[in-house]
Amino acid sequence: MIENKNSKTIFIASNVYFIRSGIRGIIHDLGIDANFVSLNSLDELNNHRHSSSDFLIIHNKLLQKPKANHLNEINVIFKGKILGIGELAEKMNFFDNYITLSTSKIAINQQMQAFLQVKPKSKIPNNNMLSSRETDILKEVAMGYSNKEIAERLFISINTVITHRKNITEKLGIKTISGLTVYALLNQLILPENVST
Amino acid sequence: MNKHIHFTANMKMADIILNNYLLLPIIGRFGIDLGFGNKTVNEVCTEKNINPFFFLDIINSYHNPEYFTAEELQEYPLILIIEYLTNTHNYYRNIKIPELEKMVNEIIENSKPDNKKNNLLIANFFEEYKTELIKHLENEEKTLFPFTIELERAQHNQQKLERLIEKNALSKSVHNNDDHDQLEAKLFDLKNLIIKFLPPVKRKDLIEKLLIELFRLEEDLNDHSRIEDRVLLPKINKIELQFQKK
Repeated sequence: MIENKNSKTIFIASNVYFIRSGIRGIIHDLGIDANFVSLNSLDELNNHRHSSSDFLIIHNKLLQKPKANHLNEINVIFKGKILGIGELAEKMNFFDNYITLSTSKIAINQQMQAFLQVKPKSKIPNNNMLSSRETDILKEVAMGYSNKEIAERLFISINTVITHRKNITEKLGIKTISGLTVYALLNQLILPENVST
Repeated sequence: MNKHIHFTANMKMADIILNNYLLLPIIGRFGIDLGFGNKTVNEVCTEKNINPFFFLDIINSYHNPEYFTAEELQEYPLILIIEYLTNTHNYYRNIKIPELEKMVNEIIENSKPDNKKNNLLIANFFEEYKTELIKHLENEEKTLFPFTIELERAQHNQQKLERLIEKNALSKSVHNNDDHDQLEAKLFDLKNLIIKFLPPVKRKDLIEKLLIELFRLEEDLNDHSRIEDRVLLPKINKIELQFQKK
């Protein structure tokens, strides 16, 4: 539900569909939100705009010999980080990272995370899904105020209250007033003595 | 479990349960006991004086809601439907709710001291839901069900019908199913509060059991409301409309 506004753009250069879709799958399974651009050849890189914050993954078969020279040229055009993949553990110092096709799942995941520089998801449960305004409204609802009363108390229109309430229900998955009250009490947003019975 | 199996009168009763164990309580509420050996649906129903076609329509629509056809179920005498619904009510009241209640109490008894307060909040919410559910069941048994039976009996007696409809025309409980939505929302919230927001409890096994039973209750109640909202109420409306046309 949290929208990632800085989702990455990842260029995947391989003429093998198997590999392109495999890479997409691996990144997707890591829970990384990304826009993918598939390239059948490295020349196609010229057809796209890219920046230093983008990522490029190259299947080393696409590099022409001498590979190091070709990669140098790519490095001039593409300013972002580059990951190489290939069948053999080639010495490719020009790549920022390199993964061989026979690498184990765990190692691939680690290297991919290192390449894309994502920290493993924090284990702290996210209970603060509501905005502070939504939390204000939720407290009022839980204390038993009607939409009209909430509008008056917070100096906003009834429609705004209704919109907030709709969003609260959507975010929490709780529909009834008494359900919202339990949520507010569980999260200590209100005290039991605030609840009108 | 194969959703696309369609149960028929010549099938063995045991095979229905082997195919979908969730049907166990439904079969039970028809008054059928286990131990039927290799008897077919038809044989068991005949012995127990149950209309096998009605039994199969109920079982099949529960097994696969896509099969549910309100029109077909409306063909059966209302008294059959009411009898089934009443048995369902008794199942909720005498078996399901006490069972859930026991689980909730057990969770409270096994709370860590710092979490007891939270568990009690859930227990109170359950209690609130339970009270509303029981009130709803009683309400239907006192108003909707007897009215329906009388209506069917009076169908061909113009004067009786007139009196009956006038008497109940303003009665909300006869024509209103808002209750179902409200109860559904509460159960939905209860599940979500436990899944998403209740801090971990000491006895994980108990909370898991409770949740599974809440999911089962939800499925059962959905089926129950479907019969009331789409079979019973439309059929009542039909009889009333026929009367008004005359």
